[in-house]
Amino acid sequence: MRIGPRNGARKHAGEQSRLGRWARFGRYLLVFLILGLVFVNAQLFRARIDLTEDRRYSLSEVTRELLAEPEAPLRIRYYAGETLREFMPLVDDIEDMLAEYRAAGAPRVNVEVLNTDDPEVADEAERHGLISRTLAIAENGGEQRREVYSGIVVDYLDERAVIPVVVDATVLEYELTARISDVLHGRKQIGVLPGTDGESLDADYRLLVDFLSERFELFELERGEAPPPATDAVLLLGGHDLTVEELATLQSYVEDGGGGLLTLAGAVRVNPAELRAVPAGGAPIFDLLERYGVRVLPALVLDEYHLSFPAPAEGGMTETPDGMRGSDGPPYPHWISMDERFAAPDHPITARLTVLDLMWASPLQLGPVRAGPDIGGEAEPLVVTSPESWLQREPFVLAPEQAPQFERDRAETEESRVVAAVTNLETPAEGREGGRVVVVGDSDFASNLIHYTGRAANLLFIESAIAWLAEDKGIAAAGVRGRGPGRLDRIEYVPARITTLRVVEFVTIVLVPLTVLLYGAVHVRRRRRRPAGSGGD
Amino acid sequence: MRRIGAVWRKELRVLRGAMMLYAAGALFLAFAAFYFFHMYGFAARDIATVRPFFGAIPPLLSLFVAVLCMRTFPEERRRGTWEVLRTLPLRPGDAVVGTYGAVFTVALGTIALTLPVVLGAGLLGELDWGVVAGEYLAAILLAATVTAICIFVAVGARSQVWALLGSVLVLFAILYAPSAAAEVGLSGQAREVVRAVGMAPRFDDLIRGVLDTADVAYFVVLTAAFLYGAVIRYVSTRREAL
Repeated sequence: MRIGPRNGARKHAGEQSRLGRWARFGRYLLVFLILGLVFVNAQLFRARIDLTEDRRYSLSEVTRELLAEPEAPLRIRYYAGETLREFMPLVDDIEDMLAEYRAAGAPRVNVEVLNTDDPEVADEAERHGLISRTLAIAENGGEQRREVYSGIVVDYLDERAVIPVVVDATVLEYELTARISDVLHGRKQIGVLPGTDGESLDADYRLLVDFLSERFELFELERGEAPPPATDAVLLLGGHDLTVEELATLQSYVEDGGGGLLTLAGAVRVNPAELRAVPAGGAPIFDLLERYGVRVLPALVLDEYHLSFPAPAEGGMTETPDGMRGSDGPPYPHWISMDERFAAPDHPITARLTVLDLMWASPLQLGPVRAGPDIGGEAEPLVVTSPESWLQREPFVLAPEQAPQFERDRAETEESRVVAAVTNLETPAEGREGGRVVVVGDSDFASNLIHYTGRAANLLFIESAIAWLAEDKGIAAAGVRGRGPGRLDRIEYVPARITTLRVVEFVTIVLVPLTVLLYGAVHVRRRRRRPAGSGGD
Repeated sequence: MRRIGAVWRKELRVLRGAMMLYAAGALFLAFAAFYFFHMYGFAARDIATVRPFFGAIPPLLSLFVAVLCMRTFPEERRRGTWEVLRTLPLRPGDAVVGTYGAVFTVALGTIALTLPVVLGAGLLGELDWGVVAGEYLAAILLAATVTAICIFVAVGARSQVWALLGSVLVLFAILYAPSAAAEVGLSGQAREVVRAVGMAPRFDDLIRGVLDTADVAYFVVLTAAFLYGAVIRYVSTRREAL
């Protein structure tokens, strides 16, 4: 007799087993489906919390709004080499910031980091107009020079904007957001007005015009012509010869229209060819600037931080530099050379400034805005001279052969002076924007004289100032963010710092791991000795 | 929970009795610190950040946890106690989650032992403690996910060597392969999508001090998925044996 389940029962058990398998499979599938949904949901509805103390990864509202605009892919390419990354934390800082753009603009914003150590990539960077710098590296007992890049290219449809050099991540949001705004909304319209008789853009400001045209749509304003409504900012070159009526259009543009004005005007008229100078006192431009809290004093600032005279000492300057550079001639304290120590570190215009050249600059005296009862504000310094600077009052002595007279007024005037300032006009009326004014007390700041210095620093400053003036207030407010990790300077006394470092290294590399090993050895040995059944493992 | 607790205690005792755990832990700590102070050059670079130290954690922690997981299910198989384990009145989830908990606890303890590096760096420079908090959170999330992946591999592994090799292979594939593939072969949106699958970019995001809920969800979901996968594998191996 066969003992076992009947056929029906066996079939029933088989069906149940099959059903059980399907049920199990269904359950597994359901769990993974739920996990998948949670994952997708979390990617779509994400929140980012910036844990840094200085909130350096928190993008401003205006940047977020801008990154939500593209309907086609917006491509951000950062060109930097591994060589630069090795020696400067800058590359990582920039990549971190770009990661925020990627996250905020996903999926439309694509960020790529390209290694310019590859010659083909370096060529590509060069074609985009990125500027290389030479890095001197101590290697194998000698010094190696390497070309490094750190620049950004932004592409959207057929539009392209370039940041030729990124030297500082603190103003990157401001600069990059401005470029993204350029490619999304078109380039800024900048009106340029030469305000000195006998000067023209073609003859006297060729370098400036060529440089600024790379980024902005420039057009020349006629004297007395009101800037068209689409004008984003106005650049006034000099201005000594503008009449009150001609300046009224600019005043209205700034005070009624909330426009931005950059003025390059010293209070001394200099004839570079004859090296003679006379006060430009009484010009209406100075009354206009006083309305905005900036008084240009009728004097020249001289400084211990200066360039050399860029021509033979006995002669004046010619139109072309003929190979002469600011380091070739005798010391010339009228031509001041500033660096970042003397610039406002927290203002977007000067935050990335590394050097600035002033040629026969006048000092500025700052105060409150006097543009009427409904406009407030106060001028703030942007660039100052060193504490070892002094004034030269009338009569002015410019020629290098008269150098002994340069310090004539030094004893009673030696102190740091403001040479560039910014004013934000405040208007209480709702819906009305206050204008912004930047003043540099130097009429030659952007003229072709910058040929002599051989440096583009002044042009970069003007570009930054115009970009800041032309931007929406939101982008301008993106401003400067935290500088990131500081240095290892908690212990000032260097030998103590080195000793501490050695102790920390010893503790973390040797002591802690050795303690773990010893503890393990003792613990395992004790357990092995323990008799079986005594509550061990 | 009681049964999970019992497994957790038992597995923890087993791990604590293995000299390999201490050797692997000591190597992990020594190499991570050595990399930070000497290979990266913390003092020479003169930057008050421990981010490069945490940047070195993923591969080291992966190896460490993979070694730990060799001592779990594959060890049971090697010692012949696998059958005994299966006959105990435990649900599959209890055995898997309890074992996972024990390995994760050891991983957490090892991460805690990295504190001297951070505090030492803090003696020399002003660290951003918000970022440090993000870095530890990233390390904990990474440990949770890495442990789940190693347990998943270990449950089905026939030998300790296969468990170790399998874990390392799967871990490195999830950590680096997607971002490497995205950088090499893709551009545009496809690159962004593929890149987002990898664990390393998520970890990097967290250790720079940005807590993104999408990154946290990525680690949590991945942990849950592999843990659940491990339970399924455990059930299926038990069926095979029966």
